Amino acid sequence: MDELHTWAGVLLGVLLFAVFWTGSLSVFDKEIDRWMMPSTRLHWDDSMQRPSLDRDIRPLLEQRAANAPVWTIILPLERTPFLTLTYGSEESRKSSRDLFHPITLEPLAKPLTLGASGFIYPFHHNLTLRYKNIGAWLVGIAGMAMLCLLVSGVVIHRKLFSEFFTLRLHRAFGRSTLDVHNVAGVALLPFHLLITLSGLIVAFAIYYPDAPQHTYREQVQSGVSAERVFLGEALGRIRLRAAKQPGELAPLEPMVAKAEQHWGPGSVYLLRINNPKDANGNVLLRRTSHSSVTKDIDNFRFANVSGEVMGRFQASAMVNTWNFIAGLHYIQFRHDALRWLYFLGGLGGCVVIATGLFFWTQARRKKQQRHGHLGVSLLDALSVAGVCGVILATLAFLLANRWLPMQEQLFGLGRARVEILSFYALWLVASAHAVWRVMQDPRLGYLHAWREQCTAIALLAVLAVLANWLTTGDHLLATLRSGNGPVAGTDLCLLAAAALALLAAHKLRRRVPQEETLEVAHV
Amino acid sequence: MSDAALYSLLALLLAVLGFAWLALALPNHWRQVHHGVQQTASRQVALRSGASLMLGLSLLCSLAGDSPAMAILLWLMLLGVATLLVALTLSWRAQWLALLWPARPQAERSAD
Repeated sequence: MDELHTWAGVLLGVLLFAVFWTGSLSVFDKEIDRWMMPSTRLHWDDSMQRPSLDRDIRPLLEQRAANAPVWTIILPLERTPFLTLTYGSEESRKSSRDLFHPITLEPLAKPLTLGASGFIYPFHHNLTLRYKNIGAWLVGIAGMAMLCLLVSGVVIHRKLFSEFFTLRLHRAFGRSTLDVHNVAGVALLPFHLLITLSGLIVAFAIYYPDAPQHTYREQVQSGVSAERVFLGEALGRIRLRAAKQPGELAPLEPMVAKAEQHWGPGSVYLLRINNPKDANGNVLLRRTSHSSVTKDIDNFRFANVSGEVMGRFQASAMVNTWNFIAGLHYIQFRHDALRWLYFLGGLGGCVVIATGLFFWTQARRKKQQRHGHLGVSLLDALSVAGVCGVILATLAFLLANRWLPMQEQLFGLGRARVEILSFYALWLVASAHAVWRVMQDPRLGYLHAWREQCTAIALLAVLAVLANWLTTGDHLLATLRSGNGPVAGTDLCLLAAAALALLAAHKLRRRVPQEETLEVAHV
Repeated sequence: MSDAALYSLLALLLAVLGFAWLALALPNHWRQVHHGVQQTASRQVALRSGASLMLGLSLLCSLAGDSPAMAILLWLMLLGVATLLVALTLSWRAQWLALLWPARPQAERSAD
């Protein structure tokens, strides 16, 4: 168990840190989106009057994408306070997307960024390595490793109960690091178990790609894959063939009214209109699931021409068990206290992983103190690059978002692409810096690397807050006074991160001379 | 403050109290908080049963404020927060926990 804990941690700790870090940020992805997309810093609450689908929204669709095979309307919600219209093309179901003011319906300036929900969140579950699901598999392996770490961690904990609350922060560096690792690990164990296990279960279709083949073998008709049958039967995702004959779309408001008779007023948030101008099309309605943990995937389908109900999908008890686990992981329901606790719990996971890595390299270093060991040095560099590096990269992403000029194309690339390149570029620079530091001074270089990158984190975080102020005028006092929670919260978190990073840098600075005297004493 | 928020806060306070008592039931933390006062087996039992009661009440409080699934999730998270708060208090200002279960050295000796 000792060895399992060590090797799972050493081999996958850095990957796990990146997954926990981006996962924690994804808890507030929509809030970070508001920070990164200033034109969407609007306000919406349930008491406000929704725009009319037939009178206001349909003309927009006709005017912008009269011939698109799919129209999607996403109504304004509290955390996404704008109207979203997407128009599919023949090739892709979601090719272009426009945002509108929720009341005036003026088009909003294009965000020119993927934001946290378009980059940080995908990074969390597939590392943006989509080719053959390599990224998702890596995250899955890291998730399994995390489960092993949690269980083996409990087994090898020598004094689980008698040192349940023991946190000797004033004691020696190694002791206090291990205490932080143990106490945070035990206190957050239930959350980390839940979040890791649910994360693995959510992505079952990637890890068991052949499951539908076996279950639906008999029901597969000619030309329809087992996966399609599964998606239709279990998840209510049914594909439609166009009749290639013209049809006229019936009014949408009565469909919403009919669905809301069952679901409750104001519960429809999404309408997908398949083949709007064809005789064989439909209108699919989905509902919010603000008030339950279970992610609601039920839908109503109406015929596009007659406006009659074609069908209503209700997930089975089994599928809803999965939806409950998914909802538990995605935390999209309305509960601010829990959202903050998830965020802090995820960051707590980052602390547990980072202290674990740090403790292991420290212990190894003591064993091989006289001759700086290459393997330990490289692992030190890897830890710095994996912990500080990914935080720096995130800050680079935010800074690029605020500082790059608002043009569709920059350096021959899309602006959104340049933001992502900034993320990876700074990560690469941070890794190079860490390797250079430990190579240059095998004994104390790692301390310098940690300290300098902590200082850099503090600097970039403050710069990001300043950049937000300078480019949008929304400084912290203004956003706090006007109750702009998402922007104020992001700024405050950045400042808190800066303060913590400075504190860590300060502690590390005091640490260097102590280590030097220790070294001298040994020689 | 909304009712749900109030219940969450109450649930957190009860969880902190519960974990503080559990910590005091451990010999090393009792010594840390009450120097020179002998810990007794009966007091340990009292501390542990009181703690269980507080943790149970904490769950009831969060159930009062939210739907069951969210309440249990919230409670699990609050237990983690409470553990960390008690651990940090013990490491930084251990004497503060004396307020949650006072014990005077004189009274102890005469009782013995």
